[in-house]
Amino acid sequence: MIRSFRLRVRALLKRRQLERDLEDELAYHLELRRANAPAQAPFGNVTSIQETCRELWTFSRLEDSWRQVCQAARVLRRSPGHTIAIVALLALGIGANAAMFSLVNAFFIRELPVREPNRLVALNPGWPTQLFDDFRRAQKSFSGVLGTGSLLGTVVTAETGEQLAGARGGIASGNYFDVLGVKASIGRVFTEEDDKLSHPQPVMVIGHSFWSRQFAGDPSVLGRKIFLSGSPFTIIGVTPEGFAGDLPGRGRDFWVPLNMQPVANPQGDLRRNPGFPWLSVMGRLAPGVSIEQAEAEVVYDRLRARQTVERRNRPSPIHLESASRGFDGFRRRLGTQIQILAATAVIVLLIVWVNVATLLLARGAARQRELAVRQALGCGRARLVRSLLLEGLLLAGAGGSIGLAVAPACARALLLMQPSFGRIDVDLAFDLRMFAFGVGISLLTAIAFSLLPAIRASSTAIEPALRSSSRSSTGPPSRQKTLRFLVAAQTALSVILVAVSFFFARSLFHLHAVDGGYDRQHIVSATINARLAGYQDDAAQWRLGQRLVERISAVPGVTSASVALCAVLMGCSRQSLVTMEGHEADSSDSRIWINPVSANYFETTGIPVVMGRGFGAQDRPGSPRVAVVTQALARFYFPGQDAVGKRFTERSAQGIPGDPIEIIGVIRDIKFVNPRDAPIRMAFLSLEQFPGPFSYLQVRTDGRPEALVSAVRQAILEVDSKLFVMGPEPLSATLEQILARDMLLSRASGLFGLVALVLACFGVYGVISYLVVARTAEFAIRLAIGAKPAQVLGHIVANALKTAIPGIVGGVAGAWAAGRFIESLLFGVTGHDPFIFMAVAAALLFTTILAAYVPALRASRIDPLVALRCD
Amino acid sequence: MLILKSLSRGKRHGYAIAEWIHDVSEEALRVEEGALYPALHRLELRGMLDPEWGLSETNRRVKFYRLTPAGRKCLAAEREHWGRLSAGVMRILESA
Repeated sequence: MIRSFRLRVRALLKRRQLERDLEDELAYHLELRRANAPAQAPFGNVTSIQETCRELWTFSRLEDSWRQVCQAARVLRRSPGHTIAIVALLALGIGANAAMFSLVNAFFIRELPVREPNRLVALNPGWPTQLFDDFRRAQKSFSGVLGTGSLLGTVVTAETGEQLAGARGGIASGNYFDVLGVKASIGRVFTEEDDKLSHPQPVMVIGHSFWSRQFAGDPSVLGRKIFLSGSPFTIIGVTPEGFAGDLPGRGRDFWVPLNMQPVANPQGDLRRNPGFPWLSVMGRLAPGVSIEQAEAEVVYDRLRARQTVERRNRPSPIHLESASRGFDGFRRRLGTQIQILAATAVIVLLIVWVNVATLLLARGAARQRELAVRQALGCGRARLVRSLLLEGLLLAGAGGSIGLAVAPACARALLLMQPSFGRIDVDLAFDLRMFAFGVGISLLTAIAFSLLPAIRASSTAIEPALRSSSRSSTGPPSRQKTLRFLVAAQTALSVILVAVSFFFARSLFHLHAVDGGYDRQHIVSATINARLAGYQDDAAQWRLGQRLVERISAVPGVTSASVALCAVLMGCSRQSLVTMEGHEADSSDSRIWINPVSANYFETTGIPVVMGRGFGAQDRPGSPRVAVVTQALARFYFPGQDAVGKRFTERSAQGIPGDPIEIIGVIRDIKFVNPRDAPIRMAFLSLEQFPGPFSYLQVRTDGRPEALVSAVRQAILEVDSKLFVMGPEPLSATLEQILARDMLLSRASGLFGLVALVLACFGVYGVISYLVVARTAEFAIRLAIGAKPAQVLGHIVANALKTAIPGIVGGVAGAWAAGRFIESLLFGVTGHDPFIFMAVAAALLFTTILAAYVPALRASRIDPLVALRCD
Repeated sequence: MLILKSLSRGKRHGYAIAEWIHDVSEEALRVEEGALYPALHRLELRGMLDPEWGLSETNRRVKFYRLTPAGRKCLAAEREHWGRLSAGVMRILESA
């Protein structure tokens, strides 16, 4: 085998020699024969013998295939416009799908770049610090258990004093890198030694991408410091390239040891909060232990460990999940969106296939004669199909390569459409899986769009094709039927995509239009952490709040300012158990949100008081304690009654009731964070009477809130330059972030919908133009015998509509099903809103008419004399 | 097999092989050129034959073929196979 291959390769290189040898050999034979037995039968066909022998010496099939490829390429080169159009279409379809696949790959398929990722198991849901410590000591199912969490609200500062606002830090138990099996690329990772509870080390391991971004990959970074909440941490190592933590989608920039958390994090020592499950826990299964065995043991261990820990929360059931691809928080959040967008991309690809098939088919008509000639010359049917498939393969290969090349950029652009996540770190690097996907989809594409034209072309009867003139034939009626079917199919698919984009756009519109109950247009809001700047007790914090309100109110353009513990769109951190008047005995839900605010909160945020009054000067320390509640709260506890004048008491954590608080006013319902939320049950207290911490500062202006941002920040820092401030930011911008998912879906599906619409237009245009050209003679005769141009025009447009309408009807049915599927993501619009279906149908009808109009106009202007003389 | 056999006593060229088979079989067998040369080339590619170029009296280039050890082994195997086959066929024919 190998020998024969070597000989053949040699023959390939010395083709001339081979020819000569063959010739000589046979010539000698002939000569001898003529000399010895001239009377005998003639030698036979020398050329044929030579050919047979030559074939033995060559890679005949391969060489033949190569020749066919060359031929296919020649054919494609001959009509560059057509080829470029098809390649562009395919690049679009394959690119969109490859982009989606790269996201799916990054989030759902790719494993963490760690040692044996398939032995890693996530122990969901979260764990409190103490419980994690106890469990870690007691468990036997894992060779190691790591705990990790985010450093939220930590201010990160470089040595230069520059705030690194986007830096994302993680807290990790000392064995984190050991359990994962990640070694430092330079320096070292931290270990249990650095994470001793008695004296943890202020060390930090930084991520590779952060290292390249922030320090330009400078190896002298080791030993330098980064300040977390003002405390220095020494950089001791850099992770290997590609490792960005345990949560796909959210890379970490640095890690500090778990027991450094009280220093690094302004939230205080989370260990003292035994009920706060903030740690994500992952374990590496011990050799021979299955995930089921481990689960059984974990449940038992956790139960036992809990007995040593005081817990107020209900124990949440624990379940184990493979963590080979990391924790799945982000996967869950983005999962639905990626699925929907991937489905959309697949539909775009289908449309592209249909479109390309249409183009090839229409062109197939023009090539009918060429193919018939080839067949007549003895080209076998199989060979013909093969050469057409090869052309398809070349086209798909070109389109696929371009698509793959642009896919990562597209995927990144898609993620950028979603502002709230800030930076999404996904490894979109090109890998083998991507490549396989690209090749697979290109092959599939080639087969999908070129098989139909190939079969059709090869089954053409030779004779009529040769005889008929190329101009006046529309091909067999079946071809027209196929073309019409393809156009209808394409229209139907476009309807689905356009409808989906309409759904999301309308939903987003509704979300924006929701009246949250407060003024969204004129407010900027800043997050302030007073405790970090040294304001420890309640009174000091409230004094700071008062100073801030005074100072900010003096800023030109500001009409009023207020501080509050909780802020609209930002969330609330205080939920209390209360006893409402008249509800002392019943066990109905007694949890409400409590929001202590400064006196002019309602004026500042523009929340109208609908009953009773807001806070006033009379509500001072020592005067009766008062509260303002939302309508939702009033409705819930005092249905049909006047809530004003009712009292409630707030129970402390130990269940001891405090002093009664009187409700003095009711404000409009507000949607506190997300416009989708139900109106919140919240009671507002006056910070005057209940001095305490605040987290947010709201500022109201008559003008554009954006104009105030820097002045307000300046004023805050003037009050105390040590304050850690986030923002300020106009509320409208905050809302954008909250609606990020809807925005992404709306924008991306809008983009795909637009692409679908353009493709549909293109498809109709292509087919109608083809039919018009094919029927030129017919139209010329019609015009010659007295048809008005307008009649011809109308005839063609009607023809196009007749083709498109079944497609639109089918598409609406498909869109109805798609609407069902995405209904849960919609807001203010159902998945079968007739208005949307009508709008989509109208859009497609309009597109069809537009696309048909141009060729129709051309047909109506045919000069019968010129057209008929041509034939 | 016949070609291999014809070369078992040394190198020969194509015409000689055909003639030898024709003569030895007492004119019962004639190998057509159309089959001979492709067969020769196939055997060469499979490593059974070694080609060697020489010159004839008429000063023409002549391609001689020679058995390789592999070819010899193949001949033995083929011969045995054929022996068994023909013996079997004979037995069937004579059984009646």
